[in-house]
Amino acid sequence: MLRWLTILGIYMALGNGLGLRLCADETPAEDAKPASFYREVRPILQRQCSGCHQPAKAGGHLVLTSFEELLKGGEAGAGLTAGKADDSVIMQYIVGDPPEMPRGADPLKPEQIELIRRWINEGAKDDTPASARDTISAEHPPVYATPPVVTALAYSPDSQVLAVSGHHEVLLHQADGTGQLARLVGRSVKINSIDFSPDGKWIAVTGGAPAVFGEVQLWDAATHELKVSQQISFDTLFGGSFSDDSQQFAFGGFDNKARVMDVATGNIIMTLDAHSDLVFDTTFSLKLDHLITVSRDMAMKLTEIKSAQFIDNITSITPGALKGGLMAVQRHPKEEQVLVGGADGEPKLYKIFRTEARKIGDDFNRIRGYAVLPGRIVSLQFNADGSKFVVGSSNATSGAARIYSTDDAKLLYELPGHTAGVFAVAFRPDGKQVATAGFDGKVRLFDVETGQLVTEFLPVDITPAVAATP
Amino acid sequence: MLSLTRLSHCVLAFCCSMTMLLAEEAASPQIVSIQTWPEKLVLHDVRDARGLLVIGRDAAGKTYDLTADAVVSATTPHIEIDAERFVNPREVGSSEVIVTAKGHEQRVPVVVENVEPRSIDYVRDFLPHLSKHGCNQGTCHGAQQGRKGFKLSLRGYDPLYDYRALVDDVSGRRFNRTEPAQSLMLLKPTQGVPHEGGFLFDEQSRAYRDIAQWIAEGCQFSETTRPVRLELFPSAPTLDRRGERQQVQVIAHYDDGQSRDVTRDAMFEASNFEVATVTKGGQIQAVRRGETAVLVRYEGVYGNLNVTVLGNREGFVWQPAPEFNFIDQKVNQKLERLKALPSAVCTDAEFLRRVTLDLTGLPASADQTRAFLDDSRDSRSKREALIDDLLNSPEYVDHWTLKWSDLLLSNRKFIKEQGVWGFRNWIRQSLAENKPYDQFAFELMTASGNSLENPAANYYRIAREPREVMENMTQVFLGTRFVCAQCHDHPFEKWTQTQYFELSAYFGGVGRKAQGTEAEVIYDLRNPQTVMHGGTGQPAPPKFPFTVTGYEASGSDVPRLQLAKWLVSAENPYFAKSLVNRYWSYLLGRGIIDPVDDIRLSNPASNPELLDALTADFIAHDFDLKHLLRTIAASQTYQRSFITNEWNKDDDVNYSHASPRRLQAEQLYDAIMVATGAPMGVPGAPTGFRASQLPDAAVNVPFLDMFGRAPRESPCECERSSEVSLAQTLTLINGPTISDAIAHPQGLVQKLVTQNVTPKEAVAEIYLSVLNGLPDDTESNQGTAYVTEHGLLVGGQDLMWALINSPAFLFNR
Repeated sequence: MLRWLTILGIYMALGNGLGLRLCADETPAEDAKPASFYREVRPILQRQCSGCHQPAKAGGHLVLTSFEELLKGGEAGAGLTAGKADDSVIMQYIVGDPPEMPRGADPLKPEQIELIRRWINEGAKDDTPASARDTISAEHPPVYATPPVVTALAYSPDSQVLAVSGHHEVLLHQADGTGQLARLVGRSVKINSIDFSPDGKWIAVTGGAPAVFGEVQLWDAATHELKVSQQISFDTLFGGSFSDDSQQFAFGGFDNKARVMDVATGNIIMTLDAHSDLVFDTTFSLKLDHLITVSRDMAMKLTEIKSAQFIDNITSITPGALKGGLMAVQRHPKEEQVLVGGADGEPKLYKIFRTEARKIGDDFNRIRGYAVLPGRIVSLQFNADGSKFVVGSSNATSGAARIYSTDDAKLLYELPGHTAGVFAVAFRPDGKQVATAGFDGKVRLFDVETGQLVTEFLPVDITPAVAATP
Repeated sequence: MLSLTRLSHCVLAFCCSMTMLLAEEAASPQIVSIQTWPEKLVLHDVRDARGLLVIGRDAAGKTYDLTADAVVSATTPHIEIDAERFVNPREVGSSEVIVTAKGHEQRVPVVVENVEPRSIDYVRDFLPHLSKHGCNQGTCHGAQQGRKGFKLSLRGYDPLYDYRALVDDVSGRRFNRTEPAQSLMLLKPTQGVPHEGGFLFDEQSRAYRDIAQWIAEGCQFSETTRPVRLELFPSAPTLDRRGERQQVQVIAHYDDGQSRDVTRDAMFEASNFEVATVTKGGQIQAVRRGETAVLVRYEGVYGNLNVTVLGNREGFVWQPAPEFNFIDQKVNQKLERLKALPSAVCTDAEFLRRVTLDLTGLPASADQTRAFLDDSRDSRSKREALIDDLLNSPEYVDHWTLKWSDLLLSNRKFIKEQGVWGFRNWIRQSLAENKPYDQFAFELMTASGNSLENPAANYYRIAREPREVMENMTQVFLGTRFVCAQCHDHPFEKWTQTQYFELSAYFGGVGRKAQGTEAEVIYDLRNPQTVMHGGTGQPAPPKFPFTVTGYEASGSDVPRLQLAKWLVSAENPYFAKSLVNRYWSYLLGRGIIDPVDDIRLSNPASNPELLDALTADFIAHDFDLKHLLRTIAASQTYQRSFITNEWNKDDDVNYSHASPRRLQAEQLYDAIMVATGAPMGVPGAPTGFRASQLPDAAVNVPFLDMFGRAPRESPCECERSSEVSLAQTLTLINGPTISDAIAHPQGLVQKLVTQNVTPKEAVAEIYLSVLNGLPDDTESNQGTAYVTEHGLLVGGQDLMWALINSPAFLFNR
């Protein structure tokens, strides 16, 4: 008995000692600091409200992605009255049993509601740091002190224009690299893919702002007008591709989904949910009835578009120590075959449709592989007839780009001069040149017949920066 | 009612102790002067910001850390003091800072050598921020699968891996060169975008500025080396009272001669937070008397502070204790520093029982006891003579064969019954001839041939995969645990995943061929099996995890021969030291590094000077195991009483008194036989076999399992249990092992009955036999009265039973 009591005593002593220590070490209670809009209130709005109250989908004519919009409010009037939480519209919506908002989701937690109340009562100040404000628009296009990383390249079907990704914009250049034609400045901070529609009418862009929103932009290729800006999900979109008839546009997303958009209406006509990680790239089957998607989850999936039904994993075998899964895919221009690349650095050609019964772990659809590139394959593209392709890879501190012959798996050219990761490649539709670009921000044009560099240029104008402070 | 009273008593006592603790807190000292560390600053480049420790002194010369209270100000525009009171270079030239604390002022010279703009270095300027803010810790992006698709190497052990994740992943998703502030890697930690890891730093912080600048400068990779060592100041702080604080300064040194003050970016962790805590910024705070290590980690290098909290020692006066050999000198130096007084030397009877149990696994018999106590030589001489006798006895061989059979996992599950006997005999032979320890290990590492003809070859039948052999080898012969490094770099040590596989690769060439059902032939493969690196999937060539001075690989040696030479080299910093530490723990109850097979920086030696001296002596005597045991047993430290005094009662790690240890399973079983005079015998084993002579745990003796004999599945010293359980107590009280032994017809009590001795003589004989000492007068009178009343047989048996169930028998003390 005595022993148990002693043990009890020890526990109490421990418990008490701990309590004392906590008291001594504790920083002043958080209430001492005013509630922060930028750090505390905004993330709540971001996560729980902005899905339905954002520029692309302003439910109740209310947008909650910025302080100014919150103040302005929507149909129910100004969003809040500074200093008077109980009179503020937002409080009336988020408090209650059940509260009116968020609709179709769990109510905000009591501490979140309390925080918003406190922030309003403390005067509803906007403490967003200047560094976090996005001030770029068509009127205030980006100014570059250093060239941006190039993540996407695309030639127009007539081989006259080369579209290059920039920061917050797509830059249209003469295909021979002799000059800039136009700047397509949109909302997306990051541009992840650029595609001309096969009929030449559209330039489709996927991108967004990481961890904020994803966006599809459809620009009129002739007038350079932004016709569609559709915000989708809360992170960036990737890997856009047009159907051969230019009617549909498919893309992947950071939200693990792939979607197909009807170009005429801008409506999403199919959403694919089968991947378990971000979807890097998409391509349509030759008959346009199926979509092929590749993902960081290492799988290449086949889906019927009409029924949105998942058909098959074309492959899910990507050995290799690097992470990243499968990152690039394109259908052969004339066959039901796809060229795929990813973290193992090996370009591979696959049959889209299975000719042998499926077995766990099989790789029956594989037609052939090509000599492995260093690092991870990020981008690849066939020429117009599918007889050759260009492929680019990135290996953290270096990169490579090559041209292969499709049918005999011959490495035609190691394209020289790449000193950093290659994130984008494009084959000019007339078959004469390929373009490469990536981490170093330079666009390089190579002659397909000789594999030699024709020219290289920076896609943006550089304005020397003010000297950096130490 | 009783329990309630006791409970309230406990609570009361507890309250009192809290009051005392509070009263112990440091009173405000009277500072008479202040100084800084360092005493002057030289700032080598534009980002070489350095801090100052401020030390105050009272009239008695005692020092106090005033860093947290000091005001630091610049005198000229050459320097600027930032919010963390670091001195930042601004212009080349000489200047001074003024440090004020407790009304005293100190001027500290500062030289700024260079302020040339320099770009952010990925390895030295950028990555440390990720560690300091926890981005790469195991619960965040350092997890096996990372978090939310973003994976960093655990605690930043792989800069290239991290560069790929930060820069190359998803085509540069995480940075934005055009508008660095729009970079995901800045928006996330500032909570500019939702971040499950929460808010980590703001836009004004050093981390933000450095990361933003690195991005603006183009996210350049660098292959700059990481630091090679950390310099810590003060390296062994001693704090007096609860609540006293000490700021630590951490200087990182690089192989190119550069150094940096990285106090703000290093990680601190106290190994025993009941003794002292440490803040994120490296300020240690005393909690109670004791010692703790504070581990400091920065970019793959580790440092270690030994923090001593003295507590209130008013009235303490050091009294020199006798020193029998160098061990006592080292132990006493530590005790004097800690203000602890060692216990007195134990009695001859206590020493006899202790040393006999420790060296031979058996207690002394009544005859041995009588002979030793009657020996008229002076105590120290006869103790030394006894040590030699014991080391040369056959029981020494049995006892240490058991220990080594445990460590080497001699188990018929792995090597069949014949293998167990053969291996046992090889170990016995080695110990009997006192084979030098380096030779012993070398023969095991290089053993080849038929396991029946060369039983040492059984070593390679126990662990069969290169990784397993390596894990066992490092734990037994180097006292370190490599196993964590299989999946990632060791989180608390310098061992890396790459080293894990490279070291395993030395065993890739071991071939095993079955020879009948009982044996195998061990040989060297012509084409060694390739060990694949678990992280990169690439082959891992054999490479040592640390270099050993004087050792040079010979290309003509097969890999495991190279390994054996490297392992047993006198210069190997772990080989001799880990053995010495292990043996010390067997005799003193606790390793100088403890646990003995988990040597790592974050588990430092309680007395490094002692361990070094023992190691040096062991090596100087050619790895002579008997010499080592003799030296330890002959020390005054070993011979101390377990009875504590006012000044050492709270010490359990510095050997100021003996620590009673429960007899181990085999020892206990055999001791019962010796004490009762019953003939030796273990159920299922040939007559005369002692428990300590059993070949392995497959001989089924429930008594031994209950008392925690080692099952020999893993080389961990923790396999052998010394815990005390209720079932054990019941077995000792009621179990047949003891009652049968006491009542044995050939036993002591029966013999006394036959000899018809007097009750008083019987009591003395029973005390001598069970406890190895004569009863004092009270014990003798009580015992005699009892035996007189109940008769020699019953009374004698009862007395013996009672003594066997006493701590004086069950514990080696």
